[in-house]
Amino acid sequence: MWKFIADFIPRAVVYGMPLLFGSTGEILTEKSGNLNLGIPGIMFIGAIAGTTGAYLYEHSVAELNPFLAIMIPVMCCLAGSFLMGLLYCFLTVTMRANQNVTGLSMTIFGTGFANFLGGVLTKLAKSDIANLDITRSVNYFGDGNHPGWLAYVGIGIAILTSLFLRYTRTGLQLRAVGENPATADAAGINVTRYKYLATIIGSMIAGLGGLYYIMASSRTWSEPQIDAAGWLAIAIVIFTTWRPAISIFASIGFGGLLVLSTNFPIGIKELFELVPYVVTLIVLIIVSLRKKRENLPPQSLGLPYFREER
Amino acid sequence: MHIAKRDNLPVWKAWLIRGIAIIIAISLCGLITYLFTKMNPITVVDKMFKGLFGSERKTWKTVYQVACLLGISLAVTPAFKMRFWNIGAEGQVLIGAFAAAAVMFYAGRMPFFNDPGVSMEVKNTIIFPAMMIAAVLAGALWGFLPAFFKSRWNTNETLFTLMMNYVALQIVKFMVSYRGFKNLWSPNGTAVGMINSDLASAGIGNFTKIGEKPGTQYLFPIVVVAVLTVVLYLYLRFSKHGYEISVVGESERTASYAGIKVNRVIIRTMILSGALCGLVGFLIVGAEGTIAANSVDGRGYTAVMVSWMSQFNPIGMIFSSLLLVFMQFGAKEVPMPDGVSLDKNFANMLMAIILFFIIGCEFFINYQLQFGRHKKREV
Repeated sequence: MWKFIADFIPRAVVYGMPLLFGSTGEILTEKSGNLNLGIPGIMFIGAIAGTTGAYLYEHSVAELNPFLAIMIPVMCCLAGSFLMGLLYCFLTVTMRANQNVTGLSMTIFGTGFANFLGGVLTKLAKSDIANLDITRSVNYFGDGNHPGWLAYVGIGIAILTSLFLRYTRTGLQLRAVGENPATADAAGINVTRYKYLATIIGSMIAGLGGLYYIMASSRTWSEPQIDAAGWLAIAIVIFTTWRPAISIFASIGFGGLLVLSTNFPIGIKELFELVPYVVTLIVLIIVSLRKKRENLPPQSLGLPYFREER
Repeated sequence: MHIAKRDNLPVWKAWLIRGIAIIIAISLCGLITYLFTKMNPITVVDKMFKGLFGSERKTWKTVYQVACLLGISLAVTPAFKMRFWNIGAEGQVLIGAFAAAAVMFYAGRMPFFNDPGVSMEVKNTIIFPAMMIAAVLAGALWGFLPAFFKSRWNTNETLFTLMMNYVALQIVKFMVSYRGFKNLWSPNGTAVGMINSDLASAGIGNFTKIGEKPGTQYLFPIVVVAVLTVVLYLYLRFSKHGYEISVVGESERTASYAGIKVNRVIIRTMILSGALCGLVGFLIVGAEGTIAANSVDGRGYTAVMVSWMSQFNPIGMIFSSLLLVFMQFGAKEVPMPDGVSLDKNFANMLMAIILFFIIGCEFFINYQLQFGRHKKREV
């Protein structure tokens, strides 16, 4: 029994971490009033950027330098997801485009781009197996059964985000932007800057989730299901009622559910995977029934803000 | 620099701006394709054309794909016009398809439908409406739930419909893969094969046997969607319901002051939206004769784009879906050096680039940039 638990929990964390990164990033984003449905695409871009970096580095040197082996994928991943966040902000905040449409396009883009590039790299590598050889790099991110250092980073980020939103002045102002941008604007808060920063930092955090998925969970690039993880991360945002600290447990819990589901025959497995979505739906309904202010979505979530509009 | 809302841009100017954006986007896509394939863009387009319209059968199939995407786009439009962000078309179509497939399957197991004495036409006259009703009801239920909670308790509809997509997906995955059902649905194999193919009168409940020539099983869905396009255009444009939908979309407050029962309009429109999605699900199952977890294959999300980029105009949607289908399915026909072929992922990437441009160009339609100090009157 103990052995089972000792095996199970680390694996639940391994499966749950992409969800934690994704949901933390999305919470930060949504607190600024941006409903970023591009999270699955951003995670994909983060993953492929990191993977490409790792692949190119690994195949250009004979001996890996531990520092570079870690920093190159991380930096590539952050750069990729930074660009995606910037694109989202430019379209929705500056160009005032519809957030749902922009987000969905970004998911389509990210999924398409990452899978295409992944496929090209795999073909170029001319390996016998249909996946991308990054076996040396992944060792710096964990061994597959244990979470690895990036998991602690993820938990740290979630806790910091929680504290930031709750206890800092900037966090308060960010929440004000998400609740009612007109009021925040009148109070002298730079709405545009807050939306940009929150969304871009949020998507960089989410991008790390994609990197974690490849480097620590699947440990290779072989038709990854990052989009499913991304949508699940958005579900967790609702499930935890916009609280990153609770998301640590929720993500690991959902991760545990995924681990459990792999032990069951096909079919029952699908039922297990249904659970998170149903539970999230129920939470969404209950929260809207009870109408407790602190549990509700940010009031201006999904709405564009244009100062001159009445 | 100063940004101001435009009063009213003439329609032709708005479409001119969109046209320019699309042309820039397509040129960019051509450039990207060139970088990967090193092929003359005209050759690429030619290959895509030959792949999609090269033979009669291919043409049928391509038009059918356009019809599917167009049908789903039409289905989501009433809800969008109401500013109800229904991104649940994926789930609504899938659950509709599933219901149709279930009816088709279980009817195929009933003695009446196995009776060789009864002619194929009679069987299909009974089974098609039954499948359609089941699909429409299932889709309507999937549309009703988010609308009900939205109108009652203001539950966020985007998140709700998003979750409902996955509920539908997992239900279908479960039903087609669970051993108990799988043995029923697909006696041998992992995927559900052609439903009812084992019956002597193969093709009960799918359109294969309606047309004689290959490809003509796609005729029925194409006709239905064509009719739907016209009907929906008239409904949104000229009916009282259509008017109510656009008023609610403009401002819920105005609507309720004008005596429109907003909640009722929301629920009614979402039921309609879901039901139409279910109908498309029925058409897909009827034409393909099978159901799988990827029967809808992301078209529910693409349809959101089509509807939005055509500004909820059914006529515009015909061209948008044609463009997107051309790219998505055409890319597969283009070979690349090194044995890598352009694939659906590549097409999706290009499609998203076009979408980004269209999304961006709306800004120039709705707003104008004024440089320097503006001397004209202050509005």
